[in-house]
Amino acid sequence: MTTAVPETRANRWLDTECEQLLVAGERDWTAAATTDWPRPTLSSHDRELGRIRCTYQWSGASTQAFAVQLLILRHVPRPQFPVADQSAEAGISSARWILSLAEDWDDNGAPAIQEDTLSRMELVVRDAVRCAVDSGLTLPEPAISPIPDGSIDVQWRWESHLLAVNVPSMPEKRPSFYATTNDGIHFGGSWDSSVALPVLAWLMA
Amino acid sequence: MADGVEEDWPTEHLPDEARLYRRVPIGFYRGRGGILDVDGKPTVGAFHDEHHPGSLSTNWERYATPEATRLQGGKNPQSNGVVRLVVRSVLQIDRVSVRHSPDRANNNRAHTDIEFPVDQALQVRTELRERCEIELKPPRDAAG
Repeated sequence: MTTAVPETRANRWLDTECEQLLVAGERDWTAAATTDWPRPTLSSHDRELGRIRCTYQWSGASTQAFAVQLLILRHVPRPQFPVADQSAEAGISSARWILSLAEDWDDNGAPAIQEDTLSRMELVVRDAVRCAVDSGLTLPEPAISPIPDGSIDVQWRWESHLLAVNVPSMPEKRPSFYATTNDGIHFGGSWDSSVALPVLAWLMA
Repeated sequence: MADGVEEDWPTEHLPDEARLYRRVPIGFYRGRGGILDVDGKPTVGAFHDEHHPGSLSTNWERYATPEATRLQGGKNPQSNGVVRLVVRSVLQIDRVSVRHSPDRANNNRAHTDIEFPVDQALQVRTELRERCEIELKPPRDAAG
């Protein structure tokens, strides 16, 4: 006997209840099952990874039991990073030292990093963080590094995910990005406000 | 060289398990706030060569030691660090190849190029930094 899970109903329950229940504590969380769904049992959960596995079990007329197991992602709090805008500002202010790099700082003829490049880097960081905050996401403090062509790389890494954005020294060139997850999926391209949100949402899914 | 006749240095096949060394000037060990951190990995800029876009010079361990690699260039060679990469790991990066390319002009038989499309430089330096291991740290008094 097989019965399809009413997907939309399940999703609605997950959206509204799941995070709250986990915060309340796992002993209480079965209490909020909807009236026409059986009470779920918690199979496993991993707060760190943001995962819950739960099981719904029905007994049919034939007395044959069947179960549906759901793997729930994204509805529990992720590891807590410092408040996003604070971490961005901390990263930005800790990067101002790169303006003090003299020409040939790499021992191979690298140009000094220009104030204008640094300013554009700051815009990129604040833009990314604003997109993240608007979406309820948090970013750790970025690592900001000078590159021997006069550009600047910004890197955010959390868990095993990584997002790198390069801000070129030439203002007419667009920044580029490279993103990768712990399961080996990666992609890149030109970076601007319009791609920041989908990229961040994908990485944090 | 023997009796004034230069020895032939053919391009050789690099085994997957071959180790490559890359010299890293001290400037790439400055992290957050510009603080020198000789115990950590260098920053991503260490994997960018502005003079040879799409290519990165390394030394194959068969013909070079880490210490020889450290002393291979720079104003103060003793202050350099050295990182290690394994060919197999480098080849796992999309569209990257590794080629033994002996450099007769600079008397460097170990010279090996990591090659990649120029428009992929951000990905390559990001991945190479992830995959590298520290071989020789810069000396603690290297800040000078």
